[in-house]
Amino acid sequence: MIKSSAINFKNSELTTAFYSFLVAGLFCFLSFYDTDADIYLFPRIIAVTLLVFSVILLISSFQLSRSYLKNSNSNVKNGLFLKILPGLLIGFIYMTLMDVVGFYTSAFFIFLAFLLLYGKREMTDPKAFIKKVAISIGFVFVLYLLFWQGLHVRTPIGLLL
Amino acid sequence: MDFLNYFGNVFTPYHLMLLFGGTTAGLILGALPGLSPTMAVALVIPFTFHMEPASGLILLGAMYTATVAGGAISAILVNVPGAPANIATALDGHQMARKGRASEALHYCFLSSFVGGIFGIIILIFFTPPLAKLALKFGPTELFWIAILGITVIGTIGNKSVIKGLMAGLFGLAISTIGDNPMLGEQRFVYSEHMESGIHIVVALIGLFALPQILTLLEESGKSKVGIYALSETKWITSLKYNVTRIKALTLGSTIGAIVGIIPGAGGQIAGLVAYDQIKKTSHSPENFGQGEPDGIIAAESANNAMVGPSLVPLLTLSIPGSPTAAVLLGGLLIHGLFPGPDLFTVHAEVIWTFIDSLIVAQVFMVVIGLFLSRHSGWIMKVPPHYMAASILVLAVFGTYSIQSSYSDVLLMGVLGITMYFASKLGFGPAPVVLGVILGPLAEDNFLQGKLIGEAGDGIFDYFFTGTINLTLILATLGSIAYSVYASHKMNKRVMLK
Repeated sequence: MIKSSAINFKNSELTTAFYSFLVAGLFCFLSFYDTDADIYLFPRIIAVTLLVFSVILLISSFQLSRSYLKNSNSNVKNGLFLKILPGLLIGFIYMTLMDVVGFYTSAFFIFLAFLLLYGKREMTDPKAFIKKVAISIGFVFVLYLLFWQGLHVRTPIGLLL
Repeated sequence: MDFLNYFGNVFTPYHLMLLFGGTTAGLILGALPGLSPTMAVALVIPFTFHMEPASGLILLGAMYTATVAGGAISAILVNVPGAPANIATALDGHQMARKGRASEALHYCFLSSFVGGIFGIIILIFFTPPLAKLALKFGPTELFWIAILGITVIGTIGNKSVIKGLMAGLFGLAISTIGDNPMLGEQRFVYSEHMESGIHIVVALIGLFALPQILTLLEESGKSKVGIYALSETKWITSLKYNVTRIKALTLGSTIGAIVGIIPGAGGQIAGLVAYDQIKKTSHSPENFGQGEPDGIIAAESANNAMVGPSLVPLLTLSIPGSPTAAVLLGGLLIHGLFPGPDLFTVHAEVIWTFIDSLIVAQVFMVVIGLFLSRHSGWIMKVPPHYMAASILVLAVFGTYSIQSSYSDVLLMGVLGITMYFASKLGFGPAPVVLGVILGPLAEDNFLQGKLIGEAGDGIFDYFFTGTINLTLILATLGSIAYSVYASHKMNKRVMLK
C-alpha cells in the first residue's frame, strides 16, 4: 500500500515536472521564435528563468528519496475529472447562453442545474424539485434587485433578460 | 495625527451600510468551510469598480477583517477551519464545543479578534507614513527589485515546494506580458481577439481564486456532513468578564500577530500557530491545551486579527503584500488608480486615511455582528457545497463581465480558472500567480526604464546591482529563498524521521 502510494507520488511529481517543462518550453518558443528582441525582452527573461526552474524540478523529481516517498501521498485522485466534468460543462453552457438569453435567465437555469446535478437525487419528489426552483428564483431575483435595480450594473440582456 | 482628520468620512450612512454589509458577508463567507478570505475579497473587487475609491476600499477592508474572524466559526463548531489562519483556533475551540461550550468559545474568538484587530490597526497608523517616505528614495531599479522581492516572498514562504512557488510567480509574470509592451506599445502573445487588451487584474483574480474553488467544492459535494455541536446559552457579558482577565494571552497574541503581519508573506496562518505555541509554552498548565483551554483561542484569534493591519504596512508603502489576501487588496488599490508609496499619504490622503479609519469601525461591527452570529451560526455550517459552488459561479461571471462589459473577459477568466485548478492539483498555488500578474507591469516598466538609464550611464549591471537599497533588496530576495529552502529541507527531514 505504502509502496504504491510512493510510486503514485513520484509519478505525479514527475508528471508535474514534465508538464512544467513543456509549458516553459512552449513559452520560450513563443518568446524567441519570429519575435522582436526589444519588444519581447522581458518575456524572454521570464521564459528562460522558467525553463531553468522546470529543469531543476525535473531533476529533483527524479532524485526523490525512497524514504521521503514513503511518507508522501499523491494529491491526484482517480475519478476526479468525472466528478467535476458536469460542472465544467454547465460553466461552458452558462458562458454560451449568457449572450443569447441574457444574464439573469441563464443564471437561473445554471443555478438550478447545479442543485439538481450535484444535490441529492430527488427527481421523483416534486416538493424537493419545487424547493430547488424556488431557491434558484430567489437567488437570481436578489441579484437582479441588487445589481440591475440598485447599482444599475448592466449585464447582457439577450432575448429575455 | 492625520488619521483623526478623516474619521468623519466613515460615518456617512452609505459607508456605514457598506461596513455593515461587508462585515456580515465577510463573517458568513469566512465561516463557510473551504471558502478562503482571499477568494471572498477577490470576488468582491469587481463590485467596487463602480464605487468611489474610498467606498470600494472600505468594503474590501471590512471583508478582509471579517473573513479572518469568521473562519473561526467553522473551526469551533465543526473542526474545519474556515481559513488556514484558523487552524490554531480549532485545536481548543472545537474541544470546547464538544464539551457544550461552543457559544463561550465563539465569544472569546470575537472579543479577542477585536482586541488584536485594534492593536494591529494602531501599528498600521503609526508605522505606515514613515515607511512610505522611504519609498521616495526608490528609482526604477529599486522598484524592479521590490516587485521581484514581493513575488519571491509570496512564492517561497506560502508554498510547500519553493521551486513550484517561484515558478507560479513566474507564470503570473508571463501572463502579465500578454498585450501591449509598456514602452513600445507593440502587442505580444495576442493570438485571438479576446486577448487584445491583455488580461485585466480582476479577471485574473477571479479566475485564479474563484473557479478552482468552485471545482473543489464540486469534488466535495455528496460527502457526509460533520455533526454540529449545540450552541449553549452563555451570556456574552460573562465571556467578556473572563476575556479581559486573560491579559497575557491577549498581549502575547496581539504582539506576535503584529510582528508576523509586518513580515511580507508570512500571513495569518503562522501568526495564529506561533501565538498558540507561545501561550502553551509559557502557561502554568500546558496540559490543558488541546482539551478546550480558552487561552488557546484567545491567543490564536487575537494574533490572527492583529496580523491584518500590519500586513497592509508593506503593501501601502512598498507594494509588498503581507499576506495573500493583502496581495488581492493590492489589485483593489490599483484598479482605483491608487499606487502604493508616499503619494498615497499626500495626493490620496483622504482616501487612504478614510480606509484606515474604516478598519477601526469595521472591528466594532465585526465584534457586534460576530457576537450576534455566535448564537445563530449553526445554519451557516449546513449550506451544502454545491449551493456555494453555484452562487460563486454566478457571482464570478457577473463580477468579471461587469468590469469592462466584455464577454472576452469572461472567457479568459474561465480559461485561467480551469488551468489554475489543474495546476493546483500539481502543487502550484494561486497567490504567487496573482501577485505575478499584479506586479508584472511594475517589474517590466521599471526594468525597461532602468535598462535605458543604465545604457546611458555606467552600464546596466552597475545600475541594477549597486546601491544600498538595491543590494538590500537583492539580499532579502536571496535570503527569503534560502530560508524557505532550509525550512522545507528541515520539514522533509522531520517527516523522514517520523
